[in-house]
Amino acid sequence: MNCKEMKLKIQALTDNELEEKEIHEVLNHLESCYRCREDYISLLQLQKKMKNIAIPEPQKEWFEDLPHRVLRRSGALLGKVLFLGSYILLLGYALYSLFRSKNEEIIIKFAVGGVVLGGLILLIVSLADRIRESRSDKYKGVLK
Amino acid sequence: MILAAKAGNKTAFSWLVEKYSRRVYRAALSFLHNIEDASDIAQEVFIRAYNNMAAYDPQRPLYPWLYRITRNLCINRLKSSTDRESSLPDVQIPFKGETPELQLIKKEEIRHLRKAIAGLKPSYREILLLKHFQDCSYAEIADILSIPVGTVMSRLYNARMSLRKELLKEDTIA
Repeated sequence: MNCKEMKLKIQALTDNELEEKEIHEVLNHLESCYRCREDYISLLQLQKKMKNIAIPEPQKEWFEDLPHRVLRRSGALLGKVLFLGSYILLLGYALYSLFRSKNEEIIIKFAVGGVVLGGLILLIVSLADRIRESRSDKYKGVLK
Repeated sequence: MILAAKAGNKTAFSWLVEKYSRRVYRAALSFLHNIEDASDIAQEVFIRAYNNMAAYDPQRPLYPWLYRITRNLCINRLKSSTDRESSLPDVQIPFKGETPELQLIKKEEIRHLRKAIAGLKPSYREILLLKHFQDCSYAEIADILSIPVGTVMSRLYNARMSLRKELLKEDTIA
């Protein structure tokens, strides 16, 4: 194998990604080729330099507590879904009962109907705005 | 462990969070350049992952999937900003137990390195950040960038050679 073909294997060696059966072949080549040895040393030096760049991190405790926080927040999300789902169900049932009832005055039924219809219109308008906004988003492709 | 987490095992999922939290945080930091925002997004990534574990294909490496969630959440956060490319966050490095002269030399070296990385083309910068700051394997990089492993190897090699050239240029100027 020539030096050109060897360069990616030398890099894989420095990255601990070389298959075991190939390590011996690369080491043999490095012993016999001065240029590739220089390449190998410079790759190692570059990696060492990169390691010197420290990345700012939150405190150790933040990482330690993360799994608990994630599970807690996920539990809270389930709670929110249950709460909202049940709320909508109850509201639906209450409205159904109100409109089916023959004892309630018609004005009450109209007022409640108006509130519900108004809320629905507002919801649809805001949803339509969001959809229009997302259609004209030039980074839409990136997000997907 | 991944299969157990997918099946809803909380201990297994906690183990995954512990294993990948630093890498996810670093990925978020490379987009957001801010510790608070990056930690916030990292937490959100794992919440999303936990709630969508059913959508994860266990035949593929986990990190690229987490990386994609991270990238999407970061882009959403940056939507109003123009800074969308990954780059190195600015950082103060503590040099414990070293003489002031040595500290100065190291600081200068790192400044050169950061400048050289910033001068690379985006695809080279991205692959270097994935390899060196998120400890991605070739297979994980291939999955993240949707390119074959062979291309990862050659792109990484070219990126490193470009970086070396940039560093030499910097040295010559200095």
